[in-house]
Amino acid sequence: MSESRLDLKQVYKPEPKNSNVNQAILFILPSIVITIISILLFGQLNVFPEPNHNIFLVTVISAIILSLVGMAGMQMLMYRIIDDRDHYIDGTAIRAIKMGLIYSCTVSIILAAIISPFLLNVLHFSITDFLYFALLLFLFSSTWIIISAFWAAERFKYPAIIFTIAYIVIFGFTYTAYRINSVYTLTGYILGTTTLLLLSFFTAIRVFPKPRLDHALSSDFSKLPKLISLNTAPILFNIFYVLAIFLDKIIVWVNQGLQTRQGLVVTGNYTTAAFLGLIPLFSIAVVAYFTSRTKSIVQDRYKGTFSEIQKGLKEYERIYRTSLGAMLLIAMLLTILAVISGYVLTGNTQILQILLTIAMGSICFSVIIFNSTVLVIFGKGSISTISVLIIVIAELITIPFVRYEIWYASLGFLVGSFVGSIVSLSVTLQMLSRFEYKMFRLLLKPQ
Amino acid sequence: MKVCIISEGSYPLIPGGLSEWAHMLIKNLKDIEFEIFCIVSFEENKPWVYERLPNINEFVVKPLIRSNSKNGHESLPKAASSCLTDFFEGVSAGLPLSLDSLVDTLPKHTIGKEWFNSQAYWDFVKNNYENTYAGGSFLEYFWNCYGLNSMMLDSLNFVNEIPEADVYHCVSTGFAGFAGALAKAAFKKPLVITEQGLYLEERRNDIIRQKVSDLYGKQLLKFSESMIRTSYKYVDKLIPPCFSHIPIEEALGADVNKIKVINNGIEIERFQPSIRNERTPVIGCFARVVPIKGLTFFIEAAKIVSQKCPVDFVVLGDFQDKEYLNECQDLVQKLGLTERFKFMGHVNPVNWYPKVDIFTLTSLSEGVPYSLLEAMSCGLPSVCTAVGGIPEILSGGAGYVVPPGQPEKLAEKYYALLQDKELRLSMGEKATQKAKAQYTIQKMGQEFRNTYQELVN
Repeated sequence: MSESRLDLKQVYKPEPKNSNVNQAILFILPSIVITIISILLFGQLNVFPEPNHNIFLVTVISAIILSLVGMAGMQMLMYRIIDDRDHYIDGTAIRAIKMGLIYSCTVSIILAAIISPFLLNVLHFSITDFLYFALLLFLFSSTWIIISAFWAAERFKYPAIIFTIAYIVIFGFTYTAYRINSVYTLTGYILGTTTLLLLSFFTAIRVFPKPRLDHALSSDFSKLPKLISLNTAPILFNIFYVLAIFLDKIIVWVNQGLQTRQGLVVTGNYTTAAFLGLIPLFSIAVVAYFTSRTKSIVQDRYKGTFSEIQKGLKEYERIYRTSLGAMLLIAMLLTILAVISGYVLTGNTQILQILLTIAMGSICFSVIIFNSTVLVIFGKGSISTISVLIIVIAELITIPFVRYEIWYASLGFLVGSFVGSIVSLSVTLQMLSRFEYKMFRLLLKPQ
Repeated sequence: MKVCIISEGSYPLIPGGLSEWAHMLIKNLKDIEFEIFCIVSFEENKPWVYERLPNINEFVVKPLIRSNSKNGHESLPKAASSCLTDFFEGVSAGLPLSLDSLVDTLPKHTIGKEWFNSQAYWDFVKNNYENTYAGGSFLEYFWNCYGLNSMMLDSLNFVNEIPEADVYHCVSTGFAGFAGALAKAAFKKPLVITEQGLYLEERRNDIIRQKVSDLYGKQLLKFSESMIRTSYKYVDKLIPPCFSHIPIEEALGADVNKIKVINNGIEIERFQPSIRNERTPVIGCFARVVPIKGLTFFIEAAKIVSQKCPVDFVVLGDFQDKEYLNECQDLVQKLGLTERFKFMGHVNPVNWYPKVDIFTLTSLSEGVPYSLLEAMSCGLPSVCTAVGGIPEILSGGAGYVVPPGQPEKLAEKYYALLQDKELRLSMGEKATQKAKAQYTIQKMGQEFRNTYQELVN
């Protein structure tokens, strides 16, 4: 009699895809290790004369930092592409790596061009030094891209093996080059890093299936704007996250550069302390355990009867609390380890003060990172972004005070991390306290 | 007097028996001004399929499913939120709703689908699941609730969209009846509902046809029941076209004192008996090609009869469901009836009654089919299924009725009529007399005019 009968296709709605992309944050750990090795071996231990020393560290550390900032957004996109295969079904990882490498090459050239006046005119780099810097920037950027593909595909053992081998090779090459002639130190380091990239690249080629069909890279790139618009919060999170880790150090280096009229000085007490203070950040490796333990719960979170859903969510909450507790415990143990290391290596009280401040900040920072994996389930990724932005802002606020006391830079990191962790923790706990409601509420939000 | 006709998925945008009925009513009551409030499924522009009559003043068409939900608030004041929760609890439980407090509360707040994000709505959804549907997929239940309740929430907007009138006349229950109930609650004007078909039966047939899950079927039936019960609660005069509807309406809460049967009427002068030439007899089913018309049973009966005597078969009606048409055509082919069985599509029935020897309807659900009344007026013998008002119409020897879904019984009656020309003629004669006595448009129009006046006075 009437035409208004319901078509069920109008009634059913798809459930949202899992947004378990925040494992990407773990990827920062190997880069911090490389940085710490560089600082400790060639910075604090002062193995070669002062001018070479600073150029070497400026080159290495600024290449690491710039590559991390430059690739932060692309890493998240790599994650999204590989994790959510709707976008590039055939040969997903290889196609994403191809795109990523083109991106890393382009961005490296752009960043090197932007920073070139500073390096050449202020720091008085020679053209060779500058080219080394640009090459290193490209090598690191490309490595981060490839490694993030392994991470996204949950092939964790490959990055672990690659980095272990690469750390040894980098150290071996650099030290050998230094022994031959200290002028070649950077060349040795670059050779080691090249090995890291090549090892990553060929492993990726071997591990990931190749595309069966020919795909125009232009068509792959054309999908990026939509992906970017859908992932603005996690992309910004990744960028702020990298900035938050390094900004206090940059502020101090610039300050030291201004005071000594050298432009940028990346050695000294603060640098050693600040990087050692990041050691507790390694506790965020627990995130890998947490996400793997909760993966099936997250995937099936909307399936079954209500009591089955509730049971799954209670289990999720239990694992969350246990993992968070374990992470904090590990972070504290790592803090003690870092303080002891600092004391043994330097015996300097100013270093210990900065180290302890940064280490406490790192514990709070770990909480933000850990919670970001939970908040994303509730569509609250922006809270994590805000939390890391708070750290960046707190660090920027310290700029006027650093000229009086460099410790303030670490205090900015601690205060920002503390406030950010409170924000992140309170929202996470609020979400978990009304887990089912918040989860189903998310379904009604426009995707 | 101003009467607002409220239709759902029918007059004047969709052709069919119900639309035909509404058109004839308006055409016959020239002295009454009409406004049309037509509810359709989606937001789209459809042209009128009926001539716009001079006594139709205003025409408003509104969709059930709306893409641009207004920007409502997730959290509402406690009173408004509790009012909505009670409302949806009633909808989910299949209960009659109290709309009076709702129409008072609604205009004070901006209510949109954002409210479905609220804790109050979540608590209701969760509790309702645990009390009624525990054990089924919660996600499916959740989306079913959202889909059905969204339509219900959107339909609350009708209260601001229905034109003002002296009498509201819904041509069915369901959303039309619900809109009428809202108008009654808001404007305190009399409400008339005619029920040509039985809404709940139609939904049951939809559920079978669409092969929906048990869970959705249950939720949809409760939802529909609530709308029907609400319509009955607010109606001043419930008008079925036949007595067979009354017990069903009563079982769903209709007050028997408010029920008044008014027979459907046709323009008798347009449908006159004609002399039939000697030829291969034709059995015609005057029905839209939709599952509820049970055409597959007609095809199966055709197969049985065609094995006994030469006879042709035609289906005369719109191809409204292409999938079902394909299903029927495949069956015709499978049974080897391609030469004898034809689907004619939309035709002018006046031209076709003289070309047919036996009228048939094989529906699973019907009200009072117009085509049957027209065929009777034309002196055609009938074989129809015993659904809705058909047994009542064909009583007294005006035609045969058989149980629905039984092709053998249909074939048996077709064969009896095909074998006996005298029987066909005498049955046709009785049918003509009955149509002239009981089913004229003038009689129907006068009875509605009297009803409107009685209610307004």
